[in-house]
Amino acid sequence: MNDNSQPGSLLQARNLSMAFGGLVVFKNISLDIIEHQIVALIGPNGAGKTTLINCITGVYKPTQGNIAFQGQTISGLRPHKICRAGIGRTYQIPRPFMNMSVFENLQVCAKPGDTDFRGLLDLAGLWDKRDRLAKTLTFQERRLLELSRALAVNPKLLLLDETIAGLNPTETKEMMAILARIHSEFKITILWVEHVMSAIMETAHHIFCLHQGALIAEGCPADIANNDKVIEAYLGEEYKFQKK
Amino acid sequence: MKRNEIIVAVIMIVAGLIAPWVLPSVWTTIVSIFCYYAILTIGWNIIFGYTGLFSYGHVAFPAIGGYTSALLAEHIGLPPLLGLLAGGLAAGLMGVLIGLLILRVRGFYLCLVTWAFAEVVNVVIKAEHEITGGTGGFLAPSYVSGPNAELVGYFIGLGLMTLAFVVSAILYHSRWGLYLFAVRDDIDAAESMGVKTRFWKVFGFTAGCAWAGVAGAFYAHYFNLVDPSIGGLDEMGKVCLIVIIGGLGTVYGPILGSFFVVIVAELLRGWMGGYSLLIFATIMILAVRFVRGGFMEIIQVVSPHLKNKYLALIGK
Repeated sequence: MNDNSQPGSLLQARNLSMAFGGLVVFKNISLDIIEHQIVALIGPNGAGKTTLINCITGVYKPTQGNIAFQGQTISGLRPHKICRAGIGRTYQIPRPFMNMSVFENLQVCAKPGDTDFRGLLDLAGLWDKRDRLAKTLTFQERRLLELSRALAVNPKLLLLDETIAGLNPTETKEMMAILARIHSEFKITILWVEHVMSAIMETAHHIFCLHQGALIAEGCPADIANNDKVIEAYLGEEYKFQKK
Repeated sequence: MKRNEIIVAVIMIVAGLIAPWVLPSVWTTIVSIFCYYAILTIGWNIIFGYTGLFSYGHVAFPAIGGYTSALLAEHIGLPPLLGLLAGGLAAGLMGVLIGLLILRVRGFYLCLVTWAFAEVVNVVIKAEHEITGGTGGFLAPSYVSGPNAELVGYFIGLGLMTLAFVVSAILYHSRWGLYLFAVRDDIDAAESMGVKTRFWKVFGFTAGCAWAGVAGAFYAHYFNLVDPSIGGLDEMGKVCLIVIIGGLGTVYGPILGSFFVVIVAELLRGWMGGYSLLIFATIMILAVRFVRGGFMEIIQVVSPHLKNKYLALIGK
């Protein structure tokens, strides 16, 4: 991979390494996220996917390397500054502000004076529940709330951490439809960590595969599904069989 | 501020203004003690109830405020009214320093650090007896001299308590309040969602400490004495008790709790005798077990029923 950014690149990571003491999570990762794409990040458990997200959002400071967003270096900044630069995120296990109402959850993240959340809450189907405390919501509703909260910061790039994990098939379908709308209506680039392959194969434009702290493959869904390294590390022989 | 809060503030002022003319004179002292605890616990409610920082050293700040005001009055002749401001500023300044110190500690460890700080303050006050008067305490002048001193002190306490209540109510409904609640509910998520959590953590802590300092200075000039016992650990227990049985993180909680712990306790003193601590401890255990939200939760559950009954009664 070269050091020059690809055309249309919104976020560039260069030679990124992260280690906690002696434990190396990933090493020398370089990747480009192209604007207006849905980019998926896959890999077995412990591959370093969530850590990568935490590095991008500033929760961890990468041990080495550089992350640039819209041409500005963001690695090393505090998370709230990175958020204000235009990167929103959700968590694997939803973390809304439990003792605040749905509306306040969005209000606190948006810019001061921005109080028109009708569109966002309609999208998540939470407008009627806007005065309820977040802790009274169901698991899926909390996830939707978190999603609309991330959109309330008006991001250009949205990082999703396993947004459909733990949802039943109906809920998964609804969530996929919402993600598709977010992508098309809000013109937002999405980096999506996910385990549910069928969902990724259907929606993603570009896939990165992380394995044991290294980027072992990238490409369009069809390429990834037939990549021997990916199959060996993650998908399993069965998947290859199905595709053929 | 919401309508109900304005009504409560007005009721507090009116009742407070009438009280000295209808109640026996001992009650001005009791209500002044109530004001002291209300201001002090409004501060702690901002720190723990709003911002989620379990400070177990809150009582160090009234000590700092009280001694600052008393020492300034003694050495440079600062009038007690300005002493209230000076006490609040000194405690607030110390709050900023401690707030910065506890940026990286959470939960139980934050509790330990603040507790240790309170102990240090207490030890310093006792040890530096040449400056502070040691365990015997330090004399502070009244707000005015003459026979009306106590009454004037009482009105000042009433005013300060109402001010503290109004400020904490405005904060509760403001955007700043939302930032504090976000820090309380999930500090990492708040940081990732663009909230300047470091600033708001220190802000919440400092605001609460400043009110504690004001409370301490008020106490010193009202009783003409400030001694190390106002910074004692048993006082800290009382602060927790007041806020928890009143309603943690609510606007009315500290007022309700102080009313119960100071005024109701006084009314029942003949009946409770020396068992008041035992009874309060039992109430606190019951509250933590069954009604986490304290009196406010009970009111919130009961009031819709009462409203319906009332509407039925007047035939609507």
